[in-house]
Amino acid sequence: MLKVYRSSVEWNPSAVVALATSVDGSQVAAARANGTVEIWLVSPGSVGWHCQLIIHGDPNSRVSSLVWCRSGPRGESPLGRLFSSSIDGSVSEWDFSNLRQKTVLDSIGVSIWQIAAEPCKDVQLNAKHETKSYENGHASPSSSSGVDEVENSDSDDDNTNSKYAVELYEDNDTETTQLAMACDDGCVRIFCISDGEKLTYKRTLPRVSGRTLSVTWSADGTRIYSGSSDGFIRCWDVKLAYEIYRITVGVGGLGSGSDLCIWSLIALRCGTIVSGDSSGTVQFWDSQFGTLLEAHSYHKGDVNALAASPSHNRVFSGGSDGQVILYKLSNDAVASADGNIIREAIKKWIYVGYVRVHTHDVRVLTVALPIGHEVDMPPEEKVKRPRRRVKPLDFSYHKWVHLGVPVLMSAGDDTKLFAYSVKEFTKFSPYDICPAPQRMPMQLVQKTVSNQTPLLLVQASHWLDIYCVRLKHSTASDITPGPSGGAAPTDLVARVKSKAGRRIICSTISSSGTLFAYSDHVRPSLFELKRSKSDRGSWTVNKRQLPRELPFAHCMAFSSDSTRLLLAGHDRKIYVVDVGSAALVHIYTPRRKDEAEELPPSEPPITKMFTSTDGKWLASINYCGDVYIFNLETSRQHWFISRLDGAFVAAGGFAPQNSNILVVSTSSNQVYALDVEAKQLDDWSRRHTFSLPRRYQEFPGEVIGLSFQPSSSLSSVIVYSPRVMCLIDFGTPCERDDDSYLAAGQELASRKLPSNGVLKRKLKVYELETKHGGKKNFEFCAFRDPVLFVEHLSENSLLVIDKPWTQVVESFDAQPVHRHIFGT
Amino acid sequence: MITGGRSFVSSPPAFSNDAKRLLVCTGNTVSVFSTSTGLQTGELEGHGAQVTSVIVVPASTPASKVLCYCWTASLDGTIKYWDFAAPELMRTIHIRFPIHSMVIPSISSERVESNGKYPDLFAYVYIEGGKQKEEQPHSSVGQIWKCNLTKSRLVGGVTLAKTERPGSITISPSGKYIGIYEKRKLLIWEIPGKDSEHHGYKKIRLHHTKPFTVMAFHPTEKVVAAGDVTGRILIWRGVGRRTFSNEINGGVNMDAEDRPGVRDNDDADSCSTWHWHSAQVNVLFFSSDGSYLYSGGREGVLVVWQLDSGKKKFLPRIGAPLLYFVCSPDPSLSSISSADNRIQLLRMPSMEILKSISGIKLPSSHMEIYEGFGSGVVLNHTTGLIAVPTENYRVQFYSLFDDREISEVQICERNHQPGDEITVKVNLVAFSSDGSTMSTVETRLPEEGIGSLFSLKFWACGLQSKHFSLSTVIYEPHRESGISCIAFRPTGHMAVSSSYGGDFKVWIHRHEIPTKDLTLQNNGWTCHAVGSYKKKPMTAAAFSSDGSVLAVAAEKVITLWDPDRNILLTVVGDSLEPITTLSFVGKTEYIVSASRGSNPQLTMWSMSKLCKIWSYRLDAEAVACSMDNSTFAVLALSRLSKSMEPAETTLQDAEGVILLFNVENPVPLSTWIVSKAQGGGLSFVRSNPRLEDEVEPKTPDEVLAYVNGAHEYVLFNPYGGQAGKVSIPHRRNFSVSDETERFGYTSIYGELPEFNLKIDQTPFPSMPSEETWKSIFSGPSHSLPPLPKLCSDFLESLLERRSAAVE
Repeated sequence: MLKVYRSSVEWNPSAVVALATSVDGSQVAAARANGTVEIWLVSPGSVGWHCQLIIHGDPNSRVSSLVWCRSGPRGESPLGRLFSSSIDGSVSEWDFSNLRQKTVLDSIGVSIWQIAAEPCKDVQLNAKHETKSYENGHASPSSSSGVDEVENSDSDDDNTNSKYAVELYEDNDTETTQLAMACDDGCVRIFCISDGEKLTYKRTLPRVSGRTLSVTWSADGTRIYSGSSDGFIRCWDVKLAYEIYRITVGVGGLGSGSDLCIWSLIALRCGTIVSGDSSGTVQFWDSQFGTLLEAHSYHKGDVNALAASPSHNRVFSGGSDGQVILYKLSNDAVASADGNIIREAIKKWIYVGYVRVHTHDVRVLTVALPIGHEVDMPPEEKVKRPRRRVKPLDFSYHKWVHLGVPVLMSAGDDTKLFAYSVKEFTKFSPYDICPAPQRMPMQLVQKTVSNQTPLLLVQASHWLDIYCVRLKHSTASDITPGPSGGAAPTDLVARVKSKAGRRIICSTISSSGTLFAYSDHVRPSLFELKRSKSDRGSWTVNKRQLPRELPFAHCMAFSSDSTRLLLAGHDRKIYVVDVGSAALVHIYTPRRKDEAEELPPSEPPITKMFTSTDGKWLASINYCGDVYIFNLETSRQHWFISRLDGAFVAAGGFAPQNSNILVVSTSSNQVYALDVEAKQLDDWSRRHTFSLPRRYQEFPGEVIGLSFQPSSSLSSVIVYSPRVMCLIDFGTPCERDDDSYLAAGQELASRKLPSNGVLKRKLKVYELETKHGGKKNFEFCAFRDPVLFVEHLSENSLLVIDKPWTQVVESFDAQPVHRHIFGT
Repeated sequence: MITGGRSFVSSPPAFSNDAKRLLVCTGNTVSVFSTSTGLQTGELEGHGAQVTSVIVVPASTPASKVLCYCWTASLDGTIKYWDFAAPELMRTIHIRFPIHSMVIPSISSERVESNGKYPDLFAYVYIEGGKQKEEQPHSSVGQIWKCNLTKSRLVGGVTLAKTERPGSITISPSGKYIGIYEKRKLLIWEIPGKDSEHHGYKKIRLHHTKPFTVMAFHPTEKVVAAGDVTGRILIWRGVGRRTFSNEINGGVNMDAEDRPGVRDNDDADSCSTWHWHSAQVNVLFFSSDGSYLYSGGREGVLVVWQLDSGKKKFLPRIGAPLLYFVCSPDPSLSSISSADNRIQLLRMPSMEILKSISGIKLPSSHMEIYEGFGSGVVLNHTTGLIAVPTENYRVQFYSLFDDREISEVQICERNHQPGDEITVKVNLVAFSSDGSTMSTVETRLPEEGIGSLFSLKFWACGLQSKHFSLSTVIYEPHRESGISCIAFRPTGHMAVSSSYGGDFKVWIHRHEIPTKDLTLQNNGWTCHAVGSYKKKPMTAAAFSSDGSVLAVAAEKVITLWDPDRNILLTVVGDSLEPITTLSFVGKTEYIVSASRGSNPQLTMWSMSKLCKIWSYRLDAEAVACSMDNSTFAVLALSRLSKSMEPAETTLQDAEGVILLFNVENPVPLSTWIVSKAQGGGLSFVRSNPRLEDEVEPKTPDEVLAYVNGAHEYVLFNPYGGQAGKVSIPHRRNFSVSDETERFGYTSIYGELPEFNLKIDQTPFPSMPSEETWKSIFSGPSHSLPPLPKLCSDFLESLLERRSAAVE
């Protein structure tokens, strides 16, 4: 029986300030207030959202807006290029090949509130083939080896399409995509995105009073609409740079107050402009004349964001009251009195409904088409489920998410991202795609050299914390995810702050617990942790030397004997440093094939590295899911594994029992056991990977880690997501059985934040626990609170780091939206 | 015999074509009220059971607006056609099943067919199927039938729906659709333009997850609104586009994703939900132009939704749950019926209450009778008024003879939210014999066991005998224990309150001669004496008619006291159960007492002999004694005496019996069987209450007033056979609507107020006085001069001005 120790750490996720959907609609970029950008997508073969990349930008410049632009004529990426504007007036590009923020426009001196890219002329063409396939939305063009024939043909097709698109594009006599910026001084500035590093200035529209807060392009790209802080919407001719008309936005004919801010504007293809303002009103305007069509004031706060469905017949608005509201275009035919003659249809935008899941302001909305692959799930088994009082939240998500379904994403000050069905907005509950936002990377060392207490390394944004986990005086509980689990107090041993407050990208601690290292955007650093002999309580941290030529790293790992530090540098090479001599031992260049080593690295950056316990193998995984196996003894690349089933690697590790076995869990919730030595799938994996129980494939939430049992005899692994964990025993076969467990587990996991049915749930948890005694494979155990980290402390004890979300919410800067509860 | 106190809100009312009259279903009759005066002008009598629907035949031409025809349907299974101006019954159609609702879709379109004949008029009636067998409890009993009104017969074979219980049919304003709601679905039928006997009906269903309570049709668009028990309002748009459209390609748009909010495969384009009401929605109504939706419910707030933008306007503080909202042909007039038996007429765009037609307050569901506390209603012997404690902490005075509300007294302050928890109850109301003083006892119910408070209040009546004003408040008159009874001494200003705590207090009214201004405050009721008997709970009290003896029931015995000197005179008898009611019979020396419980007893005591004369095993709900002669009446519940009868005991309406006794004779003089006796009241009332007005030498006749549990009442002469002798003056003089016609500007906006031009011409005070700074900021804020102007004046005023006489 496993014993569970629970502990909690400081966890301060940061609000989402911008969202943008890539050009092909498959990926969503989310910018947080602390300067990081996350790329979310749905991996092929699954429906769950996966955080593919986290790029740490400058924490001091606050992103105000994100936009994906079509790549220039070079056109290598179907995603486009991701640009962000900042409050300090600069524009940055987020570089996926180097995983860093590149400033492409130095500060123009005034704040930029919003940027908008010129619509591409071939939107329709894109929309047609975007449902086919982009393997992972892979940014690299040289993705032929691992892709099978069908997908090749697809991408050929794709190329022809884009050629055609380019021709069309040239007909229109515009070389580059233009970017309109809403500036604080009242101007709208237009820049061109060229192939070069920097943006080129095109023109500035005449300066007007107030601040320009929002900007959008008309569908044909000939007009720009801008909304300002004094309550005007202006329509500009782009070519001639003059104002065509202006709309005075008032509430109910009251005229514009001087402080009515137009926070959001979108222009629909049907020639309707939609505006959202600080009075909580969403208004629909005729773009030809600038006249009001409809006004809806259902928001009880500012309307911060607007989004339109791909068909442009639905509009969503998100406001500072935490609501997301759907408006629909209805063409209601008015029948005349006798009912025979139907006059021409009257088109009206009507309010349909709202969903409120955010506890804080909704800042941004975007609509994506995230699923490029049909999920090859077994045919829908008609299982009659008894009617439940609480319907499992996640299960409804699986019902509506399928190929080509547009998904609305909302995010805001409560740091969470929610996905909604655009078409069946009111029918299904939103899906919480990131239950544990901005999870901190952690690492646990089970037995340290100095004393036998485990050490926990926690990487915060600007510092590293090392905790000592005390187990002796704490009472361990059985495997109960409830709060009654034994609390394991942690003592802060050391806190190392990064130099000059730079953001820490990656960190690692050696298995002996004596060495740890981190890297920021400038250089990596190595430290030694010692327990001083004199008095027992104190620990000392000494800085150790590293070779000067080392670049900063995206990922780090120690070899199992703690003698070598492995760094995945931003130049996409892997450096091996001998810790004792501080000398560079070897440099690996990840390759697809055993080609000449001298060629410059062309593979995507490595974001995960694992070393085997016998010190022979190094598995390095890039953000696209390719695995490169290096033999550290022979200093050669041993094997290249292209994306497993086209999915990303969510977590992995070498089994402690057999160093040749690499266990990898992918974003499509598959588990692979790879025999590295033999360059093939392990026996178990060959037999079972493709027939995993359905309930595992519909794992609630994304797998965020693996934990092996540190014994030599048992071969089981715990796979966990922020909501549940699951024990997989490689010794026993897995059986496909009914998915009632899943429903139960999801029901547990689907608890919302302000829950009053705690007691009832607790009962269910116990119920589940008793079932767990049956030792079945793929057993689920749901967590009450979002879990950050799970690791074995010993053969039969487990450390779980979690934090109740209510406590996390208390640490936010912004106050939750006040909701008047009736009767109070 | 006078009956009255009927419910005005059992069914929605209807306006006449000129909107000057309002037809209200009142029990077996339809009462016609004038909308300008709020008084009853006529009555349509003829139905044998409750009238459930009244439909006024609309005027097709402006000239026919004066025509006053209406159709009524009743639970007695008949449909009647009336000329309500006369009023005169014109036709009767027998359906033979109780009709719960009736609509006549084609009533407004009186088109003449080519051969010069009027098409047949069809009504759809929701009947309660009578021939259901008892052994099939789940078989549907509600059915919608079609009735040919022109030919006075049912259309055979047409049954639109069968439901478990009959409800109400809703009709669209155009008459094109009718709909019903049943549990969690709406059923909507399209009525063909040319209705005939043989016709197929297209039907659609709309589903929801909660039971519906009301529905409404949009006047022009295909929009249907429905309210549910949780307070949500659902609005479907594009309802029935697939089913009802004539085009073949109308049903192409089967795309489920394009119908947000619509459940299953319902035939609608979209469904939005509005949620403002916290409890059940009872009222839904679209304005005639279709741009507003009116809704109301338990909260007693009428909400006006702008349909396009969702903006809301409110008419709050109606004070009771709303039941119906009816628009009149005059767009500026509409009516709301609320659950406290009141119909309010609204001036429409502004939603101001013009008139209110109040019936007797209905017993509320919350007013469950406290154990040992008397029934709610109290009848005043002399004035012919009935005092009804209402749900909202008021006491309503209702004239028995006029059958209308006289006034209301607010006993204590309350929130205007009708649905919230009842925290205060008005338990007891008592009147002095001349009606000039009222005493009330209210109980603040404890919250979680603490905070319980009893307070005794004495109210003095104004000179016009209309308004009571609070004279004295006594908090906790008997410490923590509750008050069982209050009795006034017939002569002089004295009252007694008995308590379960084991004591009674005698209160006297002190008339301080206001020699100084300060002593005016002492003009109130003070405690004169306190008495107790063996610490036994005092359960009832009564004064003898001459006021010389006070009888207080100390649980099972009757103690007799001298009220002035507070001396226990004697103790009488022993009953089996605690005595709940005590009363001196007229001017005699007999006391009648009633005790309830497992061994109910009605006992007659003689004071002179100090013994029991006779007793009955009767469960007396109320006892009333005549003031003048030696008779008294008892309202007894028959559940014990009739327990042998197997079938009748299961009756809901607690059948009761009124027995009239003479003191000396234990054999009742007469007996009446009544229904709904539980919670009823009984009293002798002077048949011509205003003695001062009519100087008649002979003694006033008394009639017996009986109020049943539903607050319906009847006045009758108890001295049976000679009914003609004691004639109760039937004083129901229907007021004639004689208001002057208003037209043009005044009909829309009312009379122009007389502007007092002098007020407008008064300039701002120029502050010539010395101490300007004292008065400069006085006055309402909106009339103050602007701040820059004030500021200089203010500063200037602070400066010392050198007098002009320096030179």
